[in-house]
Amino acid sequence: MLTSRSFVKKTRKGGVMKVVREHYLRDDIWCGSAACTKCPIDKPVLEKEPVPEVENTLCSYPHYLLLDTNVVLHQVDILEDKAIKNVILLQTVQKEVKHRSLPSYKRIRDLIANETKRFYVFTNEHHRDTYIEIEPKESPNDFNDRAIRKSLAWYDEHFKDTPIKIVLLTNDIDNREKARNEGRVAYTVNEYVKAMEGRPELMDRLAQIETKERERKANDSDITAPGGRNVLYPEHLSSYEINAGIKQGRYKKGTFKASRENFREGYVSVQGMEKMVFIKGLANQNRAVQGDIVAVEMFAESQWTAPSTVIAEDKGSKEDVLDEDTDNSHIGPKKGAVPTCRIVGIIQRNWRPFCGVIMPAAVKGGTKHLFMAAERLIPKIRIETQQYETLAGNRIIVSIDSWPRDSRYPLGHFVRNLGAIGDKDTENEVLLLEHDVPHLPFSEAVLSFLPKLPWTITKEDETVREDLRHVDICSVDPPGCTDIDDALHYKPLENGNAEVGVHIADVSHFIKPGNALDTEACSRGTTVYLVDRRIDMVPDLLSSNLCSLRGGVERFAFSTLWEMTPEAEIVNVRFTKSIIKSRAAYTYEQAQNKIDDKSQNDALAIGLRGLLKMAKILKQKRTDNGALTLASSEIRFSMDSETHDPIEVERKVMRETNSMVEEFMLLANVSVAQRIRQEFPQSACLRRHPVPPLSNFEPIIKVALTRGFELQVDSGKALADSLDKANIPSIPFFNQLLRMMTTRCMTQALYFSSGMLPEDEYLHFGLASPIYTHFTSPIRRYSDVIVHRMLAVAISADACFPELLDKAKIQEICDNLNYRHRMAQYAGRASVDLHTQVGMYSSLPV
Amino acid sequence: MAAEFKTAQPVEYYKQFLKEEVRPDGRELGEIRSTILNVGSISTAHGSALVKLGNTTVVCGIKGEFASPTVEEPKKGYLVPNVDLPPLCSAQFKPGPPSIQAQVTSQLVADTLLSSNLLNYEDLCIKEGNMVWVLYCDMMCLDYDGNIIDACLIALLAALRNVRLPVVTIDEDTGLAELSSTEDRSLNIVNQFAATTFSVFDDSILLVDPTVEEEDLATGLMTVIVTQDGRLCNIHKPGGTPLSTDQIQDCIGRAQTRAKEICSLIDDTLDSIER
Amino acid sequence: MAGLELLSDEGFRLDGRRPSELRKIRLRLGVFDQADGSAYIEQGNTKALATVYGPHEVLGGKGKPLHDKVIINCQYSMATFSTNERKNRPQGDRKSTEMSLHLQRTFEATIQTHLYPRSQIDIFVQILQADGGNYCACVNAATLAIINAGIPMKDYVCACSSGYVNNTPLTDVSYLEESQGGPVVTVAMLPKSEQIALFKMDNRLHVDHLEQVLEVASKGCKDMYAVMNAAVKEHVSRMAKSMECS
Repeated sequence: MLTSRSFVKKTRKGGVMKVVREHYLRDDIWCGSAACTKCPIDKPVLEKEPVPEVENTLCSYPHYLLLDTNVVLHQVDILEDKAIKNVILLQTVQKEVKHRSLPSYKRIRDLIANETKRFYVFTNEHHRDTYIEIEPKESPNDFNDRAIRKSLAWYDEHFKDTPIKIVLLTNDIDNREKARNEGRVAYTVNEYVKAMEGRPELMDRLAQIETKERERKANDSDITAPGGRNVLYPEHLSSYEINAGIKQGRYKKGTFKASRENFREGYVSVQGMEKMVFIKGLANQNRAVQGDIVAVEMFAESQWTAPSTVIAEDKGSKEDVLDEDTDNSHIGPKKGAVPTCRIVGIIQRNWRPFCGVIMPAAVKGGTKHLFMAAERLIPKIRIETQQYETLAGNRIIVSIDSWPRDSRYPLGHFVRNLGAIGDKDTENEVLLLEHDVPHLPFSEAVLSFLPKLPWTITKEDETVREDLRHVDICSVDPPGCTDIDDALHYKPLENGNAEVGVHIADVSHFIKPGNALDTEACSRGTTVYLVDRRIDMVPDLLSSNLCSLRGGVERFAFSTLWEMTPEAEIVNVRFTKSIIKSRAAYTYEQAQNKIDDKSQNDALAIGLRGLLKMAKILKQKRTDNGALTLASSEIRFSMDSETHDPIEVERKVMRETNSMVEEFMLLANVSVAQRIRQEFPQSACLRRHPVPPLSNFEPIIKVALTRGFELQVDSGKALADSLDKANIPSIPFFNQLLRMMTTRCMTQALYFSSGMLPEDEYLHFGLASPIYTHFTSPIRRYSDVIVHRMLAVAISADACFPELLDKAKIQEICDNLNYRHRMAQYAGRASVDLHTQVGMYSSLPV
Repeated sequence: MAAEFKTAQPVEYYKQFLKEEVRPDGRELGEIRSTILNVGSISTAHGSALVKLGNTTVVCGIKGEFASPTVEEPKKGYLVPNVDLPPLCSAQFKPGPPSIQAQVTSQLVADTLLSSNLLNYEDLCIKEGNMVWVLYCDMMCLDYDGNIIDACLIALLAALRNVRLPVVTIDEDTGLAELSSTEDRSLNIVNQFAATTFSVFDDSILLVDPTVEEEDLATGLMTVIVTQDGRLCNIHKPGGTPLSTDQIQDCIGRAQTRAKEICSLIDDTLDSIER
Repeated sequence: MAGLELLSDEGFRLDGRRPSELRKIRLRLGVFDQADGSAYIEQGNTKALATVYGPHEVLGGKGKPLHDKVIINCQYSMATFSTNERKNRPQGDRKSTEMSLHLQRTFEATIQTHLYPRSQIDIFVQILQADGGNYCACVNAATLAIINAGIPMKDYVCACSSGYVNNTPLTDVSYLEESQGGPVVTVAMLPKSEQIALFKMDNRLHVDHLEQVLEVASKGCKDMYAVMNAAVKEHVSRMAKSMECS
């Protein structure tokens, strides 16, 4: 059966388009239930005897749940509980959820994919009997509700000869009443969850939406009155008003960032404006939460204010909101005033589940509590719980549901209990969750793609790979490193030049594109290093064993071999898949000692000296080109090997050998980048470091000026030179401090697909290289795996496959990698912070 | 035998029939071929209609677009009619630029629209002096068997009645037009009209609704266009056999009857679609 | 990724079809009187009309008569109201010229051209409404019109397009699916011998996927053939009946 939908659209040119689409209605869309005798289904999703996990006093009969949109949007936390099973999800609902909230949509898709949850998607809009057409003057919302009830009726009718009933869960009282009037079973989520026997804690997880809405309806009179007693915040504009306002330039769109120093202040980074715009006062912040995309109205210059110099912590009185507005009315700009604005509406919320701790109720034994997120920039959240006793002193997760105008704090609900505060595992869990690091153990499906042990090198391998086992190769890494992904060698040639080789673990040999192992690695993107834990990108067997280029064992490698003159000019370069046998795995210190010890003159010692000499020349060249040497305050921990507790904190020591290895890695990366860019002009996976905008440097220019130094920031070279000059002999730390600050001014380096940008934007600013990529750490970075595959295709060592050529897909992967990398970095830093604090705390005399 | 006679001496062949007051296709002299009408079949158009007048088939599609009005008439929208006689519809048309006949027919339709007061053009105004609707009315012949003018006008009229334009609002602040996705409106047709074409055979016999053969043999052609309420709208007589006033009066009378028939045909067809 | 989800996780396309389903087909032969052969076809919202004139003597200055075979002259045009936005030129633009040429090549490969030396066959196709797969609809309509005109062909020519989304090939892509920038393969095939008369591809497709996409397209052609053949048989038997009556 066929109906057609048509609608009109205006094209950009101003012409009128009439778009016509077909819409087929089918009679072969099944109900998805094993109990059904009418539908010929291969793989029913819904159980034949849907006995709920938990007895429900309202619905003590077997039933399937059918969800309203608002339930899926706001109550995913409940849906994720194992007590909820056998659920029918309508296409209409899914579409609406996708449109309104991508995070909810993703979570619901995960639920559908989870077979034990038994979520069935019913394609109601293409079903002959459940399709409805929009009626004139009907709002989209009413239309969707009607579509849901239509499907509900169909299911009811479909199962009328079985004991199974269909229960509609909704948050919308109107829809519930309408469904009941049509003779259906319908409950609100609250009613349904309350009736679940023995699971009172589920009530805590209900989003605080329904109750609030009802209350608000009751208090409608004093809420709508402007200046009514309960109203704390101005109203948000509707999305329609916001869009219209942005189009006309009345409002601007930007991301809200709360101030670290003062809870009453915040900034908005507005698109197309170089400087962040200042916001003062909670009322002007108007319920925006860190990271929300907001619409702002700029104040006239006379109303600009200056950021305060006071550090203020949120004490939580209502007056905080009401009081402050008065101080906006001063006349004339204040001293040091900056562009100021107020938030008029929220375009997109950045709400996610937050880790934190619960605070005691104001009234002893009360159920209303405040929650304080670990992230300081998040306001406190008001939650309701019956189980304060259990939650107190624990790390818990809470989601924000809403932030009504009459509430000082946003309202949320309890999601999960992570464990006791201070417990190492709990704290690590918090860290990982906060930074969205996937850290579950590898699934069976992933592990099934690992090579079977014992693993040996076969004859076949030997024929396709170059045998470099006779070459004196060694690796140099930090102490305790088990995932060794690079090794080096240096061999003087007869013509006076030298052969230099960089050998990288051949991870892509073990991870074939597209399988579960590959997908998982791609999603993880990177190995995350916490102080006392490493979250591997690939399973341990690969990362610490088969791929790791340990000393004395034969391993597969991807080798880059240069012939170089003594002046470190590259004569030629070639790439090959090889078999190597590393002679030794040195630490930086061991290598340094070997170089320094004049008595040692074996092949490795000579090689290392040769490498070091070359590296120094290479580094000089790079610096001359304008590469930056930036400092970071990295510290490292000595760990107790048994308990993994840190024993000692020390600053990382930079040895010559560190930078020696680094230098050759850079060289390999650049060589590879050039090669894959040649082979994949559209889809090479490269890394760029954009030139930071000048405004980024303002703070350090100011700082340097106070000490009488003038920093040149117009080019990398100028910056590097002026940094070198900024030395105060009496304060040896000054230069390093300056460099650390410069690091902060930098933009983030990013992976990208070469086809997405013009060539002059490939630049890697920090390294002063026109092209760059990551090739040398495939064990811990997925970008390198892709680059390996590309290089393998380039040297015809491996077959190409479609995804490698798809620039959009590569960019998609790059976007994920960029995100994961950033998060991994933050997580690593947070872990160091955590342990530094713990370390300081425990070293205090008791 | 009959076929060869027809090819060799078509005029004689016709005379044989007309002597008996009947035409070779079995019609009486004043009889019009059966008229079949279908509207709204092309959904990409804002309005459309397909007419079959005997074998002659014409499809008309109307697309609305925004345009600036003329300075003299800032409130009036306009119609742009065009008649296309593609090589597809008959072996007598060749690929290339529009044939003279197509151009003449287009012009006749345009003139008729101007003089007919068909609709209130101010209805097509979106914003005075700034933006109006222009309706492109493209009539295409798919099968050419004579009397293209009558068929085109029926198709045009039915398609215009079928037009649904989205409601347009002008955003006060931005000055940009916004199209409503749910609301639309039809045109307010004030005064409908219809054409009746006559051919003169052998300088004497008047035939109504000529086929392509009859047009080819005709010594003269005349099209009378009258409005629904019987007022004369246009007469098109491109030379040929002179006709007497009485004859013309007679034709006008027949055209008036025909116009009523066509209008009720369109009414009925639209009704049946809407139901 | 931005853009529309062309294929839902439940395996339905935007218009409700499954990946391997054709759109609804309606067709008729012998719709017009003036032409020697004519046919009308609807594939979903794509509506095409084809008429055939000839074989007749070579007219016009364009082509010289060929001594060993017939000249095939094709013209493709789109009605101004056939698309979402009004088209200014119904034919003569580059796209139409290309289409005309494609059609001409397709039919030169299938009509028994040697039977009519020194003459010409005109094939005119008109798109009345376009919603993707225009070329396919034209080929199918023209095939029927040629059959209707009684001109001998080696076999039917059936055409079908296919696209590739989320590792799934889609049959008979609509305009919406075509316009998302994914690969579209168009195949005109002689269904009995499974020979390909014309193969056309838009946008990039990796060679590894070609086989499945091609397979889906040829399956579509065969499905199309079944429908067309049934229509031809029905038309012929109706003609036979009316002849008996008279």
